[in-house]
Amino acid sequence: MELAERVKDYIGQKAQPVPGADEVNLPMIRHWCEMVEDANPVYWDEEFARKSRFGRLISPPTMLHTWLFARWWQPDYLRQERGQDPLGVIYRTAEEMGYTANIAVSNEAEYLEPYGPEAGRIIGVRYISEVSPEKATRLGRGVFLTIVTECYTENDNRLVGINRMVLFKYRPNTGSGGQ
Amino acid sequence: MSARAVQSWSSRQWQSVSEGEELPPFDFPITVTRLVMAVAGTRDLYAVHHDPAVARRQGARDMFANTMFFQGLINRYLNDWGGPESYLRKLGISMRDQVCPGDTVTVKGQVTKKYERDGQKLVDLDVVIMRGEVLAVQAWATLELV
Repeated sequence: MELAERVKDYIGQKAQPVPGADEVNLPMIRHWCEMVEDANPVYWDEEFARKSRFGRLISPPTMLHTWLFARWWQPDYLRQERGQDPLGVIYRTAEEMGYTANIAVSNEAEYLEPYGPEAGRIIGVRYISEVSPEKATRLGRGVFLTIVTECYTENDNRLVGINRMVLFKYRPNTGSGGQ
Repeated sequence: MSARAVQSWSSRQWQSVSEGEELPPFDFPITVTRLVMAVAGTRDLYAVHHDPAVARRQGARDMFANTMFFQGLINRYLNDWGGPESYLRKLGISMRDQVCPGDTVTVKGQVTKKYERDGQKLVDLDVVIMRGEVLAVQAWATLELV
């Protein structure tokens, strides 16, 4: 049975809102800017930013996904149990079918409003809008998943962006891990 | 405090832009250090972006740059052209080939459409990131100008 059929009840179902690990903050903005050598003063120069049409230092809009990352490690006592997550069910089912490798194929983001450190954390509301039938590619056989993320600010609940990512989950051709 | 020349910033006027206009290309060398900066900058710790052995097991040439790195690079490229008060409104990107240490990428862009919507002065652009003759990233963007 195809993945899409196995998980059809979970496609389009929104997960609980999940905040990113940290508040939108200037040190992380500067690390991002170092990476691509982005000199835009609306990220670096408080006075310039205040007089700009944005009125304050802002985040590069493209950082949304970075703000949404969960922690890669945290103490057990901070771990929170979340209810059954429709995305988790879809990923787990895909992995049980041998689609263990992941690669981002394409991504389309709309940046609806500028945001900066006043936002607090970015809260993501995610759902999988589409699951393709199994397809063969040069990397291996797998499925394309479209993952939609609505991005809200923690402090004033503004919808600042919507991201649509297409992910290819597949059985790798090389190595001994695949079937 | 040391004196420094204050750079004067100006933003590109929407009126002065025409459809078909090409943006100046720019080159960006990709090194292991750059990919480590990409991990630090994006917090994308998936192993394929920093561990060559894992990347090769998944069929890649080597560890490769993540999607957010390219979003950031294009964000920068478009603001360099549009000025600090331009704002990226939409960015679509399609990953066509992986970019690994030792590659140099070239970013190129062209204005495809100029229009106003909801009081915003907008241009649509096609952007490509080339790795030599190979298309690595195909992108389409909407930039708001002043």
